[in-house]
Amino acid sequence: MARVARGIAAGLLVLGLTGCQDTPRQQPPFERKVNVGMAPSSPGWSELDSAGRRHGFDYDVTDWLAGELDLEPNISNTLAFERESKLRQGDVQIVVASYSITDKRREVVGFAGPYAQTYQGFMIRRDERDAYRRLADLKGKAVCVTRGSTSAIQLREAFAWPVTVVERDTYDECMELLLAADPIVDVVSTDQLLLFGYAAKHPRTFVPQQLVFGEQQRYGIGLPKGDAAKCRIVTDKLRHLMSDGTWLAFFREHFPGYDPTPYKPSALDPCPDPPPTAIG
Amino acid sequence: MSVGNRSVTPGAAPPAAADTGGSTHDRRKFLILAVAGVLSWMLFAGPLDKTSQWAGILSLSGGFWSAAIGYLPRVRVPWRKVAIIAAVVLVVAGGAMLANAYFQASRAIEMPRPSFDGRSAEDVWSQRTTGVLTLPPPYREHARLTFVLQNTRPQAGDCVYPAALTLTPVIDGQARPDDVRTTRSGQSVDIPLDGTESRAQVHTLLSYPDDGPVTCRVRVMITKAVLHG
Repeated sequence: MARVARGIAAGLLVLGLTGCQDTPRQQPPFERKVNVGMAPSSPGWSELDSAGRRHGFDYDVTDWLAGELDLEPNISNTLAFERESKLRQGDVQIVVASYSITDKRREVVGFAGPYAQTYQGFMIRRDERDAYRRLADLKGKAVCVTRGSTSAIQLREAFAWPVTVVERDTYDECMELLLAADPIVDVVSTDQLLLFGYAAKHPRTFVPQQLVFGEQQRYGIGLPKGDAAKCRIVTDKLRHLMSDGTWLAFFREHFPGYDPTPYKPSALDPCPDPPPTAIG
Repeated sequence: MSVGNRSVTPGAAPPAAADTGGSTHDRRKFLILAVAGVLSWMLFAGPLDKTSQWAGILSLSGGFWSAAIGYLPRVRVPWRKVAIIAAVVLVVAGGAMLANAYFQASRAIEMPRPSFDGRSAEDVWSQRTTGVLTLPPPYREHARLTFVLQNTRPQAGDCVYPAALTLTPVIDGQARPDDVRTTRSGQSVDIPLDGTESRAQVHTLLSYPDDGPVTCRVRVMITKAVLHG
């Protein structure tokens, strides 16, 4: 009888010890060193100065986020058409590049945000600012947009009256056409928030804040699709950014003179539910 | 013809002593009345529609056999044996019917092609568009609904994710504000329908935050509607 009891005790001891093994440690959502995709040259958002230092609203958000999450960001210049592919291939783990959330993009990447929102706007020459009070004042004008952009599509659909759409590869080319001695365009159009950045860089231009049209663009932080953990932790940090005055400080620094209210989202999107874990 | 010390004439009525008399008739009447009563109750008993159909079938067949027995010439019938067999058959049939009725009354029912009243799947919804979904009987305690939104311009807008669908059950013409639910594209939501007697509807409202993408235009499809509980 005593032998049986000892056997049971030994068995229970073994079972107990087996149950004491460490539960697997939870992986942090980000490695300490992360590659962050950013626009190489977007005035007011992400741009290198002559000393090689990066400036802009997106850069400040990235820097702030890195501090909050204890990350060492490695900035990777990422053009607009590369954003999805770099995220999918793992070349970058985050994209902070005035990256509009769209339903099409949601099919291939994830987003945390939005951390800014804007409609389509117009940039004009400063000395002509009194000539543009209403959208109807654009009737018959030549408007420059980047080739194939949604701005071009929306511009053609938005108005009942004709506008001449001039397409160029970059906004810098559009700016040259607008500010040329013998200008062939009257207006440059894209997201109004992007135009604020250009206007700060080019004092001879002006962005009428009341003239907007088209679909609302909501800027989000691009993440790998389906990574709910990354989405949740970034969303949580963004919530602080939006509410503790930091967002407002960034906005006023980079877009002075504009009312920030319409560009600050009132709520962040929920992150997708994580996929169910297998049992057993 | 002589049987023992009794003489029996072929074709004549059986001797009075062999008849069980008035008490047998009473029992038979009572049995018929009891069966008719149960069947009538089943026939009119509310939502168990399958049970009512079964009751109809049994009433017809029971009526036919009752009438047939009434017209048959009086013969010696082993009533005790018949009563036992009938009781066993009734218990088995009744049990099966009740089980079937319970199953029919409690099983989940999936609507084949759920859609909003007077709308097609191609209709475009925008900020604060509403629609009404009428649910068919038989009603259950809940309806589990799944909606999917489709952006009409997916390359330009962020319209699916930020959209909220607010669902208000309207039971027998009365809106139930306490049971309002909010859902998003791709999510399932349970709407309480308890106590529905004649009509269950779900009023649906599409909305975006006031400072959100209010210019969005989407299609709203009901991909699944299951009555359950």
